[in-house]
Amino acid sequence: MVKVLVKKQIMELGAFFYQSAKKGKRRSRGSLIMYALLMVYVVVAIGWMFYLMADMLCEPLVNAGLGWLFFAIVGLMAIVAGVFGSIFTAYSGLYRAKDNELLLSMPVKPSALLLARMTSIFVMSFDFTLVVMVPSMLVYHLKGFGGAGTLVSQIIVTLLVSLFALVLSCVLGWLMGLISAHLKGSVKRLISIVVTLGLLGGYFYVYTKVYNYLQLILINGDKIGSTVRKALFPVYHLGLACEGKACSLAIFAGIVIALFALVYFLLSASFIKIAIAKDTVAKARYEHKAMKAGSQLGALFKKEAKRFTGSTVYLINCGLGSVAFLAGAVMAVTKSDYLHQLMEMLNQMMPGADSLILLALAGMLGLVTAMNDITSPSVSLEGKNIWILQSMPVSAWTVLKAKLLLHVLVTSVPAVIFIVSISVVLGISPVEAVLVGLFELLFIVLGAAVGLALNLKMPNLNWVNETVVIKQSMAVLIAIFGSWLEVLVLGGLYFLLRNLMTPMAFLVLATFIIAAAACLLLLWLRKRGTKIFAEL
Amino acid sequence: MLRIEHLTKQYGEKKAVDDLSLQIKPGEIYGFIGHNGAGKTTTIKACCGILPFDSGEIYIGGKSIKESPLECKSMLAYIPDNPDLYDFMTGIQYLNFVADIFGVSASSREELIHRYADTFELTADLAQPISAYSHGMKQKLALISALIHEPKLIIMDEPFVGLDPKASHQLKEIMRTICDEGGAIFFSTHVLEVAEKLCDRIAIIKGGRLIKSGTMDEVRGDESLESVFLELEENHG
Repeated sequence: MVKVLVKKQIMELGAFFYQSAKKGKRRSRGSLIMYALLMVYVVVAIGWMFYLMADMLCEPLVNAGLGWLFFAIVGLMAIVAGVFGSIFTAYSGLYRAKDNELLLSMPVKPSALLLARMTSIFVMSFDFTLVVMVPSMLVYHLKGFGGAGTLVSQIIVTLLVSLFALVLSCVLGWLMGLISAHLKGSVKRLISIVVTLGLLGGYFYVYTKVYNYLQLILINGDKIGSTVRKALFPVYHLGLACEGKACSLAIFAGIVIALFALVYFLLSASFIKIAIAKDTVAKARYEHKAMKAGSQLGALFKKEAKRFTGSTVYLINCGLGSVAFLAGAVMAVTKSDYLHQLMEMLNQMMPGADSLILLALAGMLGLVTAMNDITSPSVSLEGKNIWILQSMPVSAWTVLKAKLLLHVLVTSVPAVIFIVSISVVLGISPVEAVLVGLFELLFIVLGAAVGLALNLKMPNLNWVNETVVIKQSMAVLIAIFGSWLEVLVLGGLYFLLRNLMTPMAFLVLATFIIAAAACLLLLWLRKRGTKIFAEL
Repeated sequence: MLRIEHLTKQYGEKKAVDDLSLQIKPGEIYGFIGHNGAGKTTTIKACCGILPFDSGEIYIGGKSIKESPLECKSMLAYIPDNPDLYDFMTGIQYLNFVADIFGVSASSREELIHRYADTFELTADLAQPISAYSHGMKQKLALISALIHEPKLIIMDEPFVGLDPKASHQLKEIMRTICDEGGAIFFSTHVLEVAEKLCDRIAIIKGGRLIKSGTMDEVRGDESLESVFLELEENHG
């Protein structure tokens, strides 16, 4: 029975690869090859990153007699990767599986069902663990440190690390489910946004500091080693096991298997309860309030705003530029000394660099603005709801205006805050600041119009998962890279005209160019775009 | 109220609707029946201005849907067979959104929303997000949103699917009241018993072509609507 259930679980995982998330249909052979190549590229790129890191740590630590610390660090990273890769499978597969009730109505033992579900979590965890473990093992053996015995030992440890990550994912997934079941949608979204932004910020922080951390490990290897040995006893044995110590392998295996058995026992004892649990969020009761009438544009704008703020994926992926502007404004004020030092340094390296500050600022604003692509999936996001607007007495132009308005407002308000902050800190004159602000505003309008036009030309109303149109659609991709290209083209144009006009004069020219492009595109949207929308 | 003249709609080589003509007068409940894929939904979507058509004309209140789509749409309400509504809104937010688009005054929407929400027993759930609604609740919300702007013509595609018996009964009563007050209703259904009891006139469509239409007595004669329908289906095979 377990075999049949495992087969079903593996088919479910395979569907991710074979099935298009766009239409839910089987991928074509060409698309399958492209997808496989993309996967290989991602795995190799990430694996290469871990290879470089292992290459830096391995030899010095092994030569210092701390080979076990090398594998302890690698093992910890592999556990984090394994948990990262399997926690969502654990959450959705164990605690939110749509077929739990169907399978429980069949003559299937809950413990068998649990074991099958855990198999797919293990597969996910193992895949992610390999991306860290394989490059590290490769470095270790290429440097001639290990033999066949240690390789076998390392393979067993890799399996055990995946099992440990599975245990952690099951526990964390259970916690996620517990929290999620008691929270309102808006609170869940807020937590999700904070966690995502926190992870993103943390990633950038660690990424910029990783070299320092590795140096720190190499310098303080002894101290760190001694702390790990005392405080992280299983991790110490994980490291020793990778160096081929059979006794440590047995200890580490014993700990992991015991933890797995405990979690399996606890989950199987309460699996039916978990599987049929319903969210216990208190229902919001309707309370009568005085109603207000509003305009069509106002209603559509509110609808667009609710769509934007109601989806964490949409908010995070298409509004990151606004977050960057606000973070930039805070940084400009709190790190003003650093900015002044940077300006002085630039002036010393390149005399006259301060005269280019306005252009540099405008270029940077353009690059950050490109990160906000709210309009580019907005037509596709109408999805199956498109009939609502199409059957209503509202012009397509009003619908498109609401989409443009949201994009412009969400982007321009933080951009203006940033411009004001940086202008005050760098002592940019009010006239110059207004000019930069005008350029930026028009650039935002152009970006909004480009995104909308692209989505009208390349709509996808048949999506199953909104992530597909928000993150993977061609319109979104072209909108982002197109905006960056606009900045590059303007930069190139300045390079050609630099001897003919001052930076200030060029900024005026660039503002006119952007204004003209925005006007033309808005006219196209009004004439042709509205017809396309009406016929979708 | 609704006049369809020689409507033709083609998908590639296939004619989904072929030279269809119908007329629905104020005060009439007009049933539209046919097997799956007969062209009912295509006709209905064309009448609502959602689907462009190849030839023919559709008039709502004397206005062409091609020439004056917004004027036509402001007179009608459409309820699709599967009410995909905005999941990110609550019920009351959606109703206010619809009311704003149709320009319903604050006092009028307040009265109508509460009247119909009470009728369909949805008032307590209006603060819930639509994503938490069952199919039946979404259907009820779509019905309320169609009624709050007091349309002259209501076009419905399978309106009884997913409704509980009480809500179905109430919808039938509301349909009759609207028509008694001079409105018109054009709806498709597979439930022939409902069509038989409710409709003043009926049209049967097959393969995109109208095969029979008229008052209920004209279509049915002495037989049941079901036997007439099955006979027509067979004869026009």
